[in-house]
Amino acid sequence: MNKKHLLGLMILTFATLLVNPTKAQDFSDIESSFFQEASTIGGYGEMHYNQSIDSDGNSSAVLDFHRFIIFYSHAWTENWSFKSEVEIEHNYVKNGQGELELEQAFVDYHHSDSFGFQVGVLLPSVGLLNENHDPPLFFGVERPNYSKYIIPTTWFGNGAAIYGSVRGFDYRVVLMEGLDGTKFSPSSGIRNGRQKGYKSEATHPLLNLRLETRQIHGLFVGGSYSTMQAADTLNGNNIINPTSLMEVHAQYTAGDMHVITEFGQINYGEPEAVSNVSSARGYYIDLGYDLRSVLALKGQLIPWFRYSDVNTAASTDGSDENLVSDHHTTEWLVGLQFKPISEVVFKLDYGKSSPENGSAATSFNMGVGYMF
Amino acid sequence: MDTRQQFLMYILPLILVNLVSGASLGEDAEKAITDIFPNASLHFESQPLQQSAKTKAEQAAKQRFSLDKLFIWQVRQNNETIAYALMDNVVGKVQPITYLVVYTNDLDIRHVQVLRYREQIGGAVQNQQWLKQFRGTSPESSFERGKDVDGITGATISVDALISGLKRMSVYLSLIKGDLTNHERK
Repeated sequence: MNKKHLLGLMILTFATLLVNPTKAQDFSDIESSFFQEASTIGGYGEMHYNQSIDSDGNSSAVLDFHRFIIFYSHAWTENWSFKSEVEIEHNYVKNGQGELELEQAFVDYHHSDSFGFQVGVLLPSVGLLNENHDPPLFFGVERPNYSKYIIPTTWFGNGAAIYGSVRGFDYRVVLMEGLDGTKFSPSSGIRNGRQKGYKSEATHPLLNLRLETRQIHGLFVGGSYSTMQAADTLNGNNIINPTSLMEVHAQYTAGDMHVITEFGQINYGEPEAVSNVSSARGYYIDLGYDLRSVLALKGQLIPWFRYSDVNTAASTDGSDENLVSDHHTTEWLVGLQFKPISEVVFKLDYGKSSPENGSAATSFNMGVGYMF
Repeated sequence: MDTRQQFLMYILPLILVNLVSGASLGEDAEKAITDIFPNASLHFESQPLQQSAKTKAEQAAKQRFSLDKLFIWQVRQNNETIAYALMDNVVGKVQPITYLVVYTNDLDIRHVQVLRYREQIGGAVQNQQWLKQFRGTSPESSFERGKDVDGITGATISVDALISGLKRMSVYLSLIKGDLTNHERK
């Protein structure tokens, strides 16, 4: 090393030390106190009483421990962790009744607020409830019909995702197993096409993109777009059905008032693969008001109202227009929920569901739910 | 010396020094405190939690301490303590959330800042727009989500953890503040 370079190195080292001055206080010994490798357990669950009465006055009632979920997670480092969720539905699994599901199981690398990735069994980012559906977080004993027939909640599958937050906007991009195009139908949309991670067919993946923001105080708003080439190979068919799901969602809280709304539309590029249906569409709006302050209560007491409109055959290729009215249902619900603490909720609701071509049915539901 | 050797000699040490000198939690905390009190001197200490104050604070907040020490700065100006700052952890959905809370001498919250958030969901608790609602909150305040403090959709667990953490630290500091002042005068 000649003198010129040695001098250069000395100047550089000095300049670097000036930019990175020696710390007045050495905090290196406390850093390890704030992160330690650890496993955590969480979960949620809900039990429901569902009574329905048809237009002839016939009544039926069911008491069901609908969902029992355990989260198990482990953080190796501040960046690397594993997260999982196992669910039992309807208490007991036998002969195709009840379900045992691995709804999440992924390795998560959180590089920074602006970038991370996940690989494993994932939830795509669609709608308000698909990723956050713990019972204390939504109105109603049952999840909204919209979250069943337009957004097939809970939708999970094998894949990978990148995520982050940039300038107040949260993004997530998911590439995962696609939907089974042979199972789309006018009555249940894309719901039965979920492969649920079971030896997933992987030649037609799904791309899901989501953007959300909470930049305005009290307002949470976002939207997502999902697209795939759904293959329908049933009965010797070989149809590639370009399928997309676009949705927007918003939740606004102002003082004691709560407003929640979602709108979504599914488009089928090849209606022939869905019995001539070319789109499905739906929305709902919830209005609630927290009476805690008015009644000087310790817990949260919210009466609420919902109106929803769902049509799993909102448009057709023109060959059978009856499909549109046959699959169109409007519904109103009134309910009350009480949370003695934020993790426990007691719910009841009463409502009327009115198919456009069919007889109306009323329902009365009660439930208890928890999360931790 | 060719270009590659010059790169190794000049650039590599620069990169390494900067990597090694990445800001630690304590440095990030001191920067946040100094941004508020640019002319003050900072006196840091970590000390074991006092058992009876710990128990009372945990009962008031319905949340356990996740650290076994108190990490505290006394912010001093003109030989007087004008503020306190505490660095603490709460447990979010999976990973710990490390935050700083700065108190006035009267123990009203002056500033809250999340120093490390380590996972995808719930990161909105870092938003200063949301955190500023704690300003002026005293140890006697109820800190109840939905009543005294607004929640954040999609960040419920992180929000609840942080709210309880702030209540717990406020109560704890109110119980041990006298000891700190005496300690400082010695």
